[in-house]
Amino acid sequence: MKQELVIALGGIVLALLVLFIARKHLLSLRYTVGWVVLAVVVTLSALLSPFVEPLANAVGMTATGVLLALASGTLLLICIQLSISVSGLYSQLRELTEANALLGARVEEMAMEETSSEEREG
Amino acid sequence: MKERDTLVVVPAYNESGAVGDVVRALLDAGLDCVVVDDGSIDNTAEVAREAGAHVVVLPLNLGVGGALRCGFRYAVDRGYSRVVQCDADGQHPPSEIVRLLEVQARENAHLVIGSRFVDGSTKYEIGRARRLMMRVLSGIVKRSSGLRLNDTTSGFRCISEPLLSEFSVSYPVHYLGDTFEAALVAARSGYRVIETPIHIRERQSGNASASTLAALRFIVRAVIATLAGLTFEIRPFEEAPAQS
Repeated sequence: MKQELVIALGGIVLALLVLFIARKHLLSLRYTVGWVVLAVVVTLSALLSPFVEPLANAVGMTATGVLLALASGTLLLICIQLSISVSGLYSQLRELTEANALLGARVEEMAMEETSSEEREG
Repeated sequence: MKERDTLVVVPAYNESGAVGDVVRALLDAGLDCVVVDDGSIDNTAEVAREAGAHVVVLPLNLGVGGALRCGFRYAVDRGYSRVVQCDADGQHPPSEIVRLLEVQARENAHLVIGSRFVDGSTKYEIGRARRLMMRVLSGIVKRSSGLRLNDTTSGFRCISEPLLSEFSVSYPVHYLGDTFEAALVAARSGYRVIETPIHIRERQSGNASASTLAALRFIVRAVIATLAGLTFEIRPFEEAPAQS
C-alpha cells in the first residue's frame, strides 16, 4: 500500500508542477493536456491498484510493475508526439528563415535600384 | 528568359577569409553569383557584398542544404534556368564552372556532378575509411537507381530546369542530403544525372565542415534513410511532348 501511495503522490506532484509551469505561460495548452493526462493516469492507477491485481497476475507482473509500464507507455507516446511537433516546427522555421532572407535581399535590391535612379535623375 | 541564364550559388558559413576572392573570380569570369550567408558569425556577408556579389543573409544557420535551397529559390524567382553550386573556400575555380556548364549544355543533363575520382580529374587523396564510405554510397546509388557514380559527395554541381524548380521546393538540410541523397533522388525520379572530371584546388581558408567521425555518423544515417525509403521526394521527370 505504501508503494501505491508514493506513486499516487508522485502523480499529484506531477500534475501540480505541470499546471504551475502552464500558468507561468512556459508550457502551451497543447502540451499541458498530455502531461496532465499522464499525471491523472498515474494517480488513478495507483489508487485503483487492487483492481489491477488480476491483470498483473495474468501477465506475471506485480501491480506496481503494471502501473509503471502503463505510465512508461504514456510517456513514450508523449515523446513521440513531441518529436513530431519538433520536426514540424523545424520545417516551418526553415521556411520562415529562407523567406526572411529572400525578402531581405529583395528589399536591399529595391533600395539600390531607388538610389541609382535618384542619382540618374539628380 | 534572362540574357544570362546561369547563376552561381555560393553557400558560405564563416568564410570571410576566402569568399571575397571567390566572388571577384566569378565576376571576372562574367558569371552572375549570389552568396548565401548561412548565419555566419563573422563578416562573410559584408566581404561578399564589397566584392560585388548579391548576398542573401539567413538569420539562422540552416546547414549547406538550407543555404542551397534558399539560393535555388533566389535563382528561380529571378528567372535563371541553371545554377552551379560552388564552395566559398576557393576550391572550385571559375574555369571549372565554365567547363561544367559546357558539359551540361552538351549532354542536356539536369544534374552534372563534378567528380574528383574519375579519370581526368585532379588526383584527390582521401583516407581508407572515407574511400570505403564512398564505395558504400556509390553502391547504394547504383543499386537503387542504376546510376554509376564515383563521387557521390561532391559539392560542385550544375543543376538545370526542371530539376532546379523541384530542388527549390524540396531539398534536404542534413549532411550528405544535399549531395548523395539529392543525386540519388534525382536519378531515381528520372532526371538525367551525369558525372564529369574536375580539377579542384586546396581550400584557401577555413576548415572542412565535418570530421571523419561525424561523416561516418551521417553516412550511417544516410544509408538507413535510403534503405528505409526515408529520402525526400520530388516530382518525377516527364519529357515535354515534341512540338509538331
